[in-house]
Formats: sequence, C-alpha cells, structure tokens
Amino acid sequence: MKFNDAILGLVVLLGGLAIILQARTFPPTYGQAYGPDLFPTIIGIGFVLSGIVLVIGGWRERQAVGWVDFQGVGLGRLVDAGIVLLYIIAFIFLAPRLGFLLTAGIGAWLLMVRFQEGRWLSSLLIAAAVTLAADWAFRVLLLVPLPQGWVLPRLPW
Amino acid sequence: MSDTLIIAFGLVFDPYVLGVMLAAGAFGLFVGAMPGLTATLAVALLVPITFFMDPIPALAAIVATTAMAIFAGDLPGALLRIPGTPASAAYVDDTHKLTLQGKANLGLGTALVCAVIGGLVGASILAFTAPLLAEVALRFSTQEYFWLATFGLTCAAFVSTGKPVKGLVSLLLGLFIATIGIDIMAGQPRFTFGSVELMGGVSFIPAMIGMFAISEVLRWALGSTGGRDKTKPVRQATGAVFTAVLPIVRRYKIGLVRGSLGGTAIGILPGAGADIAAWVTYAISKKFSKEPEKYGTGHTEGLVDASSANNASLGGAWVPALVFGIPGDTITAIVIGILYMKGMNPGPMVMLNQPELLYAVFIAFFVANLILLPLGYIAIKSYGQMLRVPREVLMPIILILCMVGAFAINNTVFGVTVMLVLGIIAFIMEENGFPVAPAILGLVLGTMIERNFMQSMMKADGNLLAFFDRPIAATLGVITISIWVLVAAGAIRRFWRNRQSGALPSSAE
Repeated sequence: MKFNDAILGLVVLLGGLAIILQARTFPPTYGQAYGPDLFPTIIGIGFVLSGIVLVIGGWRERQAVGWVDFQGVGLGRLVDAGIVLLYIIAFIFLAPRLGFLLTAGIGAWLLMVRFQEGRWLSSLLIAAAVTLAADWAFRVLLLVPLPQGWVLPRLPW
Repeated sequence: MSDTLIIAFGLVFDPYVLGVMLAAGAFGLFVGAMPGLTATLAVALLVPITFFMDPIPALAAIVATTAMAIFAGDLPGALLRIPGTPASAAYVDDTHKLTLQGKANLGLGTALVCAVIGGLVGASILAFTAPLLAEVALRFSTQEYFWLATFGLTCAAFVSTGKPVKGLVSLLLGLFIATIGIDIMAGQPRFTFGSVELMGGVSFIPAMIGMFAISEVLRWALGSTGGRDKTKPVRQATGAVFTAVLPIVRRYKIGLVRGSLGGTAIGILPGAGADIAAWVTYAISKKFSKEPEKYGTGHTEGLVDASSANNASLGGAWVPALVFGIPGDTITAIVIGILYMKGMNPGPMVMLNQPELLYAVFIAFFVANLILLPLGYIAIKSYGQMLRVPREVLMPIILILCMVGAFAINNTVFGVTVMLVLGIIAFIMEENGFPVAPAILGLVLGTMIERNFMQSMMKADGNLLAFFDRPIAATLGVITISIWVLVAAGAIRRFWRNRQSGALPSSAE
C-alpha cells in the first residue's frame, strides 16, 4: 500500500506542529533557561521541515505516481491482514477477561484455518499445543503472570 | 588482564551458557532459513526470553542467533532464489545459478566457510580494537557523547537506502518516541495525555517487536514478501559440502581478506549493517576481478567476498556499541536496549567496571562462529525438511510469541498495544520507502542524546560554541555538520536541476 509522499509529508508536517504546540505547554524548569520543551521542539521543527520537503516532492510527481497505489493487493489479502490486526486487538481487550489460553489459542486456530483454507482439525491441534507450550514457557519457567481470566480453571502445573 | 580473561572463559564455557548458545543458534538457523524472516526478527523474538537471563547468557544467545541467521539466509537464496535475510540478497543470483548447475552444496559450502572465517576476523578486530578505543572514550565528556551519538544517528539516517529525508523522518520518529514519558531532567510528564502507563515511557522491547515482527507478519499476510506463492519447488542440495571449497578459498584468498576487513569496517560504521556490507563488498570484488562478466552467473568469487563480509560486519557493529554505547546496526541497537534494561550503561565504563563482561562477549563471538560450522552443515543437509513447516502455521505461532513477549516485559497488555501501534507504523513506513532502522536507533539513543545535549547546554549557558571547545568534540561536530550540509546541498541542487529541465517528473535520480 503505497501513498504519495505528499500525503505522508502532510501527516509528518501536522504531527510536527502538534508536537511543537504540545511542547509549549510544558512548564519551564525553575532557574534554568532550557526546559523540557527544548528537545521536543527541535524534533517538531525537524518534522515540519521534512514534511515540507516530502509534500513538495510528492506534489511534483503526482502525475507519475498518483495518490494511493494498492499494488494489486486483492480483497482476500486485505482480509488476511485485517484479521491479523483483529487478533492482536482482541487479545488486548479479551485476554484480561477470558485468559491467555483461550484468547491466544482460539485466535491462532482461526488464523491457521483461514490461512490454510480449511484443515480445522490439524490447526486446532497445533494451535492448542503451541499455546500450551507458550503458557508453560512464560508462566511456569519465566514466572510471567499471564492473564488467567475467569473462564478456565487454573492449570495444575 | 589475564585474570579477567580466565574469568571470562569461565563465564562462557559454562554448560548453561553453551547450551543457551546452541539452542539460540539452532533457532537463528531456522528463522534465518525461512524466506521473509530476518535476523533482526529472530533477535526480536528472542529478546523477551533473554530479558529473564543474566547478561552473559543473554548476550551470548544474541551473538549466536545472529551469526547463524545471517548464514542461514543463504539457504533459501541458493535453493529458491529468495534471500532468507536481506544480507544474502547481494549474491543470490550466483548461489542460485550454482544450484541450477547442480552445484548447490559448492555454493552453500563456500558461503558457510567464508561466513565462519569472516565472522572470526570480525570477532578478532572487535577483541583488539574495543579495549584500545575504550581508553580514548574514557576521556570523553558530554559534548563528545552528544556529537558521537548525533554522528551515529546522522549516518544511520543518510546511509540507508532511499531518499535521505525519509531516513531523517524515521530518525525523528524514534527520537520523539524516546521523549514520551517523564522527562529525565525536570521530571515533567511529556506527551502522556494523562495515561499512567505512558508515564514510564514507551518500553523498548514491545516497540521493537512491533517494528520488526508485526510489520513482517503484516507484509506476509498482504503477500508482499513473495512467500505466499507456492509455485516454487524446493531443489534438494546435492554434492559434498566441504571438499570442493578449499581450492576456491585458496584461489580467492585476497577476496576473503578484503571481504572480511571491508565487512568489519562497514559494520563499525553506525547505521550500516550486514546487508550493506554484502552489497558494497560484492561491488568492490567485481570491480577488482579479472573476470567481472562472470558475476551473477554462478561465479564463486563475489560470493567469497560478500558472504565473509556480511558475517564479519556483525562483529564490527559491536565495536561502537561496546565502546561508546552507540549501536552500529539494528541488532546492536537491540543489544544496547537490553544492557540499559539490565542496569548497565554501555560505554567505556563497562570496560573499567566489568571488563570480564566484554571479554565474555568476544569469546562468545569466537564460539558462535565455530559452532556455525557443524550447525550450518546440518542445516544444509536438512534444509528440505525445514522448509516443510508451512508459513501459514508459522505466522500465527510468531504472533503468539510476539504477544507473550510484549506482555511479559511489564506484565500488562499495554505492551501489546504499543507493539500493535508501532507495528502498523513500521509497516506503512517500509511500504513507502522509509527505513525503519534509524527509528529504532533514535528510540534507543534518544534519552542519552537529550541528556548530553541538555547537560552541555546548561554547562555552556546556551553558548552553542561550547559544543566545539574540546578538540575531539570539535572534530566530530565538524564532520557531522559537513554530512548534513552535503546532503542538503545535494537535495537543493537536484531540486534546481529538475526545475530547469522543465515539468518532467522528478523521479530521475
């Protein structure tokens, strides 16, 4: 997914302005000429200047490059990328409630079924094995408190 | 010195550390051998686990993983014409044509032997130069560190391929992310928007997993890496691996030396890593060769130069990382992030306080390159089996590892959110020709640069000339500013030339 440089340049430019404006609200350090706003302001100015360069360059090649180029990515592939993102978002919101095993396991299973076009049984076995292995390695060996959730009982190990 | 060396040997030749290195090496081989999965991705997946280890096994694991992954990238390059890592792209035509001629193992054996030799040369240079440079570095003050870091970031932004302004944007993004959280000088929360979790700053590991692993998975899902078309049959490697290699290495020994030294030097340069080392040394080899027309047709000469160079650059990249705390490539940027998290300040003080740690890293490099020989041999022999693991199953597994890893650093799902956001940003950046490496360097070095900048500003009371009043600082400063002026002048000249040549599309460069 390729955007014209002018579009990205505009994003960079506005982002730089937002950083500068936000930095102006930082209170100065008492007794010092330079406060916490100095460094972010320099970064913001850098963003604004780079953004201008990108906008000019992108505007000049708008005829040759166009505005947005999907590079022939079909709907199926977009859905694939979408469910990858959906899986991570679902993990962020559901893992604390449903627990790590259910969220990560079911998500990985659905992803495998989708990518392999079927094969739901072998996918289920692999997803379950990998999730249990990750749970064992991180929760039992490395003592990471992975979310337990309130659906499944605590595993005996 | 000799006492430290003995302690360091004891630290590395510990069954646990050696076991970790072996496991990490096998892991690196597997990831590097999978087309589309890079050495940096291998490190990104490994880091959450090293987070729970002591410094020595953690560093040794990373050294072993990267050395293996860079070599393993040659395997799919030779057999499928898909470089496993970008570092193998320079000579993929040569190794693949050798395979088509039925000499796959000749190409891979040469690549393996040269990788081992290059790696050992890189490690030796690292071991000899780092302690010497560290003595110089001890005399540095905040001005020198500010310029050194700025110089490193400048190289990172402008050395990378593509338009310099895109490298600059990437760098600024990294620096900006580093300012999020409580300000180190005044204790003022910045860009947190009231979020308690952002107060502590953006954690480096989730950010890195997002930028290297999630963006990779997204690219695969959209089919841009080429790994999703199953039309290519795997060619089985045939022939003896080592027997025919010796005459080649003897014939092209100058190339071997040139590649190893050149690769190390490019590795030392901040921002330029294994891929650039391979491209540059391949081009140099072609320039000096008696038969340049054979390059790209299954010729081993350029392969000798470039495959020793990409592994040698790994050792080189650790020189500025260990001596100054300035990473030479993305992998050492990750290493520096880990050292900071373990409460160690990478830089010359490590040499004074924990010299055994440095020597252990040197020894780990030698050990890693030596075990590369047998492990690489096994990998060449069993590559067909390795490729049977379908990417359709591997990608969801990688996602699970990413999410657990991002979660495990602070034990909150906020890490997973950071990973997701930066993964999407990095994906859009790479699709549009913005290099990601400067961003990760900026993120790692941002806090250090700002601290040295602010301290120098306060010492100088705002007088910018103070940044030049010490000889080393002045030299570094002049070099850095010259690079900026040159890049800017080049851009302006191009701009005017394009204007004068009329309304032609400006993609002429």
